[in-house]
Amino acid sequence: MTASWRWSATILLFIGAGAAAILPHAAAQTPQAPPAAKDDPVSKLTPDDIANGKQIFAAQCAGCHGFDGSGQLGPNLHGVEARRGDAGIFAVVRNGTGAMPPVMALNDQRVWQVVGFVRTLGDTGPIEAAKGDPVKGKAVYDANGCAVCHAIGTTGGGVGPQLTNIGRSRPPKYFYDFLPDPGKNPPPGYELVRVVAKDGHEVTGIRVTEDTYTIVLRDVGGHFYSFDRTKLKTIEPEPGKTVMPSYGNLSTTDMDNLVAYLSSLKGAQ
Amino acid sequence: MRAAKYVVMVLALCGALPSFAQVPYERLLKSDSEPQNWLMYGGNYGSQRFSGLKEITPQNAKDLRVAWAYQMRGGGVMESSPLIVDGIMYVTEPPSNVTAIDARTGKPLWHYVPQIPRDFVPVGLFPTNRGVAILGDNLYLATIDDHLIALDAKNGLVRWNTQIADKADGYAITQAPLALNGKIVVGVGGGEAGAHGFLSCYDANDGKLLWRYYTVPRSASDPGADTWADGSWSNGGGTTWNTGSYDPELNLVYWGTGNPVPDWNGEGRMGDNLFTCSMIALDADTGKLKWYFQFSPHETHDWDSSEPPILFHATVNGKARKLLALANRNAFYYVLDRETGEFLTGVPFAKQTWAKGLDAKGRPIKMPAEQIEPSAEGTLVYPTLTGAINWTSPCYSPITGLFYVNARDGGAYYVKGERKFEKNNSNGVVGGGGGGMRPGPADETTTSIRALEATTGEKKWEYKMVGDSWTGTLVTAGGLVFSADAAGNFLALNAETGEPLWHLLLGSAVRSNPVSYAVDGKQYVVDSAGNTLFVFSLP
Amino acid sequence: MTANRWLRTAAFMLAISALTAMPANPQANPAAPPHSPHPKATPESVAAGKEVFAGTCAGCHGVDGSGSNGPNIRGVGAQMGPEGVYTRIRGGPIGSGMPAFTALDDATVWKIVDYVMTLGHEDAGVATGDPQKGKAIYESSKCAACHAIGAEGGDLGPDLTHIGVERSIVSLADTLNDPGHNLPLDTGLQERSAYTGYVVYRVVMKNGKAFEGMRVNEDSFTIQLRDAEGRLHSVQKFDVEKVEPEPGKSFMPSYKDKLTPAQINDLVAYLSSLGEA
Repeated sequence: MTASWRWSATILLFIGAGAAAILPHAAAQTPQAPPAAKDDPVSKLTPDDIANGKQIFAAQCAGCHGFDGSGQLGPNLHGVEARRGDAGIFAVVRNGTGAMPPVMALNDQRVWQVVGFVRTLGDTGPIEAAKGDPVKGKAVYDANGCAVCHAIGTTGGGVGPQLTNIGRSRPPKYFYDFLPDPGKNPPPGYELVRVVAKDGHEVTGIRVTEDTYTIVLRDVGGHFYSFDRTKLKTIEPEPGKTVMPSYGNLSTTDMDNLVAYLSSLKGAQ
Repeated sequence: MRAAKYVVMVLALCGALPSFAQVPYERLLKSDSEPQNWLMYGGNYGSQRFSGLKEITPQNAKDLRVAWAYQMRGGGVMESSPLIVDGIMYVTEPPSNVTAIDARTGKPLWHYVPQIPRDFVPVGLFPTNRGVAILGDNLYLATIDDHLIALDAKNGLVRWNTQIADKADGYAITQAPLALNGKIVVGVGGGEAGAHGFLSCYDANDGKLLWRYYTVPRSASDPGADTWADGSWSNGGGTTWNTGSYDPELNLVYWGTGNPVPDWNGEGRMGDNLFTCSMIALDADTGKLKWYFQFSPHETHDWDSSEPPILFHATVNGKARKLLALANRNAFYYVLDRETGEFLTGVPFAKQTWAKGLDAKGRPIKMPAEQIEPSAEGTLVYPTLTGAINWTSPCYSPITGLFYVNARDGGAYYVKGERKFEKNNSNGVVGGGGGGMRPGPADETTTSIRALEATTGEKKWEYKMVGDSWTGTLVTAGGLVFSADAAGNFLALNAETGEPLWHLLLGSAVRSNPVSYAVDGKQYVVDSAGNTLFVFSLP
Repeated sequence: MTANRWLRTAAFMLAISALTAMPANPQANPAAPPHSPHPKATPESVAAGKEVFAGTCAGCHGVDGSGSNGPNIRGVGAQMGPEGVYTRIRGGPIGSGMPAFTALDDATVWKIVDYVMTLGHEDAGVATGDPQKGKAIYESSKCAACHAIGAEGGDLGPDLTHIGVERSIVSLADTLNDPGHNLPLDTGLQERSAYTGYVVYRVVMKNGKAFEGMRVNEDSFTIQLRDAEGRLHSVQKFDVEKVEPEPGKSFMPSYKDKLTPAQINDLVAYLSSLGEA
């Protein structure tokens, strides 16, 4: 009973986030975007166009860029209008850029609607630069054994996500929020689950995959545990928890430096 | 908080303790003692593709059913021979992706997708991958664009990435590398593009090149240069595009080499064209050539000798010998002494019309040139261009003493290439001289599973199928041979008698080699059809 | 409990709608990207295309397109049209082993297309009969009972809509005189080898009854046949006494004795006129 409530809550939380982006906003403030040039197609966009662009973004782009455009698999798009310009954004959507496939199914009008929405992402102001020293931050990273679980380039472990490009998709604010309490908002794919088998055996690990009949967990050593669900007594997600310990007890200086180091990780350019 | 501290402790321990290598070399050496696992492309270093598992037998094979299936995410046909190590299956998907699957349930665990340039078009071969090697904690992957990549076997993270060759020179790699003691051996493909063949050996820890052996001379003073008229050795060829075998006691690596260039016109390269269409035996530490045997001198039909050599022991003429058996694309089955390369036996295993036979040294006595050489109108010769066998693997059972090969009978009209040979084909245009084949008489090409007495090549039984199958064979201690027909019927035969016992239509052609493994004591048999991997077991 | 179930159902429905809105599978086979229009085919472009084909395509498709490692593509031009062939070359069909030839420039691809469009066309030769009389003979002989031209006719035998560009007058005459020894190649049956279509098989059941049918498909264990009424029979080879091809036989009767040589000539002239580009 309790487990299924938790499941409903988890599902709803995820869907709710998505629904909030898809369904039209009731009481949202009008997005403030930089003024457009006179002949720019963007200048002809109406608030309805921008709302449509937001909807298309949620459907086509959020999977990689996040519903708020702050990045996940794909980079953070906040402020991209200033970096690329309207025509630049249009071109990227149309043609792709190497890692990003072109978005083929949109006609010109709809691409401009998306451009119109993406322009509003600059609204939160320029991304605050990290204030610490990345070189000192690397020492903090090394001293705290982060490489046991995380890989940067070809060195490090695979328990947690790779950090090779983390500076491209997460602003400094994200790290300040995340590091003291990783369990609050773990990235997708790192949810912790605890199973108790009918024979009393217990395993807690990251859920790799699950379906109606089976579940596979991964422990901190990278070992996989494969279960038939019929052989399990309980399967319980452990919300608010991850395998990653909290780093809330770092000194302010160390935290600033660590955040600066992580923000500098942008992979091969 | 306490939980977090506990987790930190565990993590600290993990960092402090030396990590045990998952698959040390000793396990590869003794792979036959772990029949539940499939630790390398050919099953064991002798490439015997023999499974020691016994649960499935001729009596219960009729009850085989699909345990699970895995569908590739992208397009293409799966040609991979999976590895199964301690309950995890490692399979590759076109063009060069790696997927780890829970071998018990079929659930994918992680994917690795290398960045292959979108405009790369390999010439004369499909952009596909036939499998990975495992050694220590790493998987080793050769990519279509000629990189050797070491991946952490637990999670697919890249540990190192080294470039083997430049695709601009026509090289493309599809084979599974071979892991030795601390070393990775891998060849190259690209014989249709005029690439110069070579075999390389890399340090498994850091990807440093340890040795490289070129199969075709690169200067007039290299061995074999005098077997290429007018300096035509510079054309290239002799690629090493299919995984070979290894004898740990002799410390020799055995690899087959491909066609000379250009394919279907030998006029500009008179001579035997060493060391194309040959078996080469190299010292695994130095890469020096110990011996070679050439199957098809001055070859003009694209009959690469790139078939996996099967290593086995047997008594021949009262003497115990270390042997090497190879069912060649040219339709002859050869048995060589693998210490010296001495030719012992060679007999046809499929229909052939190009040679009267082999002489006492194993050299073919070719029919007159006008009967067999490619011509403008097309010359009908058996076997076809794709050969009496192509890249798929035969197998050998030490229990029955039989060599099982899925053999193709069929002919083709070989058309002479008249284009001037050009090197360098980065446009995807064949650097050979053009030419090729037209199909032979309609309805003729068939494949049959043939059981040959391994030391003599004498046919013990055959199972004739409909169509042109491109599937390898697997034999088990339980007494079964597995393979498939052209339509995609995956089937089981009695290994002693060839009697058909079971089949299931998988719905698409099976272009791969079956393997077998076990988890929790239960035996599974694997084969892929189209873009789906099927795993079978008893209920 | 009821609220819980409602919430779950609502969540499930939202999940479904969110899933259907996810970004497209990046590995799905995209349609050919925008490309230059097809320049008019000329003998020069066909010859140039043949050159490139010999180097780039023949390795898999055979020097004349009739198959090798890859399938027989003779006649695909008529089936797919130039745009279809272009898309195949550029896109590489999903699930086949054919790579996408993205590195070739448009001009080269169109030349290959021009050459591929000519594959499967036998050199027609010049018909000497009267096509109008031939059409009347076609009708009085009731060929349409088994053959279709355009949307009219039966489907027991091959479609004749484009037969004039697919077969020479000599081979048309040969087929009319002795269909059993001039059966056409079947491209649909097995992808890597040449197989004859319309081969007649005779099946003898375990109870002694026998029937004949044309092979539609076959593998090592089963064979599917169509009888003269067009009915499909699916046969497990092990369940019957005998399954044997009957070489030289055809469901199509010979017209050697039914028509005079002059009439055959006229009929050939009519058939030869079908499917002119």
